[in-house]
Amino acid sequence: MVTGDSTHPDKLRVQVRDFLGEQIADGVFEPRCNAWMTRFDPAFSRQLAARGWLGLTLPRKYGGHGATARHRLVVTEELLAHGAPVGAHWIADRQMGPNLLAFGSERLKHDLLPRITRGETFFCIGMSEPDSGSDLASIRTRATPVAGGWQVSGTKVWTTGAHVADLMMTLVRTRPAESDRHAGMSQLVIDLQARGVSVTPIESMDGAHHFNQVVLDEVFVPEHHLVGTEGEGWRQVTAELAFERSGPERYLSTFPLLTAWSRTLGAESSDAAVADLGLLLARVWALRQMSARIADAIAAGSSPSVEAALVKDLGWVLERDVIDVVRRHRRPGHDEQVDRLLGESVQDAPTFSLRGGTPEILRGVVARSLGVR
Amino acid sequence: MRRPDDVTSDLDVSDDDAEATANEVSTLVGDMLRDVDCAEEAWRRLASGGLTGVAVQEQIGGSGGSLREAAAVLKAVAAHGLDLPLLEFTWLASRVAEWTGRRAPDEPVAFAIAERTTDGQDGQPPYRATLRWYHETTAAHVLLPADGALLVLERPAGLRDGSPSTVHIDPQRVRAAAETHPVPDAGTLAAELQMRAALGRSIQISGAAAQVRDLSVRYAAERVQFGRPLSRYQVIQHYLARIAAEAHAVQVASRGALDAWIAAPSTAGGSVSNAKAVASHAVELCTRLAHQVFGAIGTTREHELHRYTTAMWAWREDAGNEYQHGAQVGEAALTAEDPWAWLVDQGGRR
Repeated sequence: MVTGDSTHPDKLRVQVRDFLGEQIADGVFEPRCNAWMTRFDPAFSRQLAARGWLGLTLPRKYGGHGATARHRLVVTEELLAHGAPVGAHWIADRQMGPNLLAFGSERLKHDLLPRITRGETFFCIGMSEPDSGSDLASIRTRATPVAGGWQVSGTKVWTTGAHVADLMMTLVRTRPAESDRHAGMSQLVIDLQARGVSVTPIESMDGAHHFNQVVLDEVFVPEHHLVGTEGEGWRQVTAELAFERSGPERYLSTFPLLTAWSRTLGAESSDAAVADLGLLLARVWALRQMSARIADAIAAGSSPSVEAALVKDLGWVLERDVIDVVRRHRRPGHDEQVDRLLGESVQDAPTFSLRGGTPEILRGVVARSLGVR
Repeated sequence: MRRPDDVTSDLDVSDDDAEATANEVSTLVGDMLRDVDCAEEAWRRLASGGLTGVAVQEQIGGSGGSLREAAAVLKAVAAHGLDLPLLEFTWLASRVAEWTGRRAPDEPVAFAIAERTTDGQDGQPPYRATLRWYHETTAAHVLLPADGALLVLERPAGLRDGSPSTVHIDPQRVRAAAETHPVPDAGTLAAELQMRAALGRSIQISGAAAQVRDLSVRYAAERVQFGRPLSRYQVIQHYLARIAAEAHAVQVASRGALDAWIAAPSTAGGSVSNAKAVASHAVELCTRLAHQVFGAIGTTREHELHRYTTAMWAWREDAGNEYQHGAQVGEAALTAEDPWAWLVDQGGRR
């Protein structure tokens, strides 16, 4: 990993925090829970890019900032803890940058990585399908070789942010499933403006729009949009999981609620409320360290997918426990912000244990590492 | 299928030189205690090998060495299911000896810091200490911070090992007793000892939790019910995964607190409280699910599981449980600009 960025992470943290403080004070955004998944604000994302806070770990020769995983972690956790609207660029910055860097062709890297870093190109991920949820290997979206590339047909669902993204990293079958059902899959970058692509909203129960269905009807994908090796899609997707499961968004989704509620505490607060606050913070403290260990391991070139699964499985429980603690101690109607964030969090909470691998899947991953599966 | 013995290291914290040293110590302890299942023999071997004096100054009778090595000994002994007064002896009583320039104790001792109670009400003396006696301990060292004194008590008759007992201390007796030693600046020392105790218990819990995980994995693979090993049932696999997650969290947390302590004890209080809260919190799920995996046999005297789980139940209460440390963390965080700012300022890995 290149360590070209000379700013010390602690100094960077102060810069990010000051910026966010100003943005909140100026009313640019209000802190929201779960904002990485539900708040898309391309203008805000470009503001971050202008400050050099996207594509931090990407090498300079691809337009990135050549900083360390630590630098990126500092930026992302500050953004999440302050509930900033980071949904537009989140997937491109977290996952697609590193994925393209590891597996993309030179042409694709030179084309896309600078645009990710400048906040010009946003990504979504096309993995799940109507008949393939947790059982990802059963996908049916098919890519057939044609002159100059591939023709792709199929349907992707639960595609967060497809309505604001430019490109979709799409898991497809390039060969039918045979004896090894994990073989024959590939990753393609699909332009969502291409002919044959239609994006329709899947409205959440609270009326919010972050999920989409993406129908691909004989979409042409140029050859050089194949990421990595044809047939190696499963291995590549699995390698991404360490990024996808270990980040601070897996335990900080409700942190803005915790912060807002803690502001209502004072000398007259019950001992139990203070103790509950402290125990939650202690657990966040431990998860931050687990997350940092994984960032270091990724930077050193490994892919600690088991540790990442542990972070996510402990993290979603913590995110929900925040909700319960606030419910137990808040005085309804006394603080508008607490009430609103709580209401939103309750309705978002079911997704905490669905996205990025359910606990059932994660525990299977851990059980396998223990040798019992 | 990979063998459980080989794989659990994936989830262990073993990523740098400091941890390599700890692993060497752990192997040494493992070899020393391989065929031992009685506490006296274990203590005798550890003491004659110098392992009960790690990180205690040589000039007062210790073995020298680093606190990281002492932590590795503590963890390895806990992973052997031996509930020895190692924390009390090495981390606490010997530290008092260092502080006062006396020799470290020769024999294993129980240890407590006495707290002041309501002054002499109901005819009770104004100090109270909770002591845990062990089979090997014939004496207890009790620090009285307010009096600047260390009191050496003999073991009362009729006490059960391992059971905490409350000792009330009569100040008249303290003044009259032959075995009292002056302790300068005892309040500062007491605060340090409280942190050492919380850190040490977190480390012990991490050792026991890792062992409970490994024992549960092994038992589930061996025990056959309804024609297949327990480990073939998804619900059991998920129990094991959850035990592993909690064991990992305790491991990372106690390691983070140890790093913070080694870097700067004066600013490590928040990290130690965080780690003890996380460790004590993890005990419930770890022990509950392990006992569920083992079934009735795990609840017996005959089976080794209880050596770990009963110790973990005791350790989660000692030196403050998750609610008491949670209260400290919460109070501290509320004095900061916001909880996030406080959290980020705590030591540990970053």
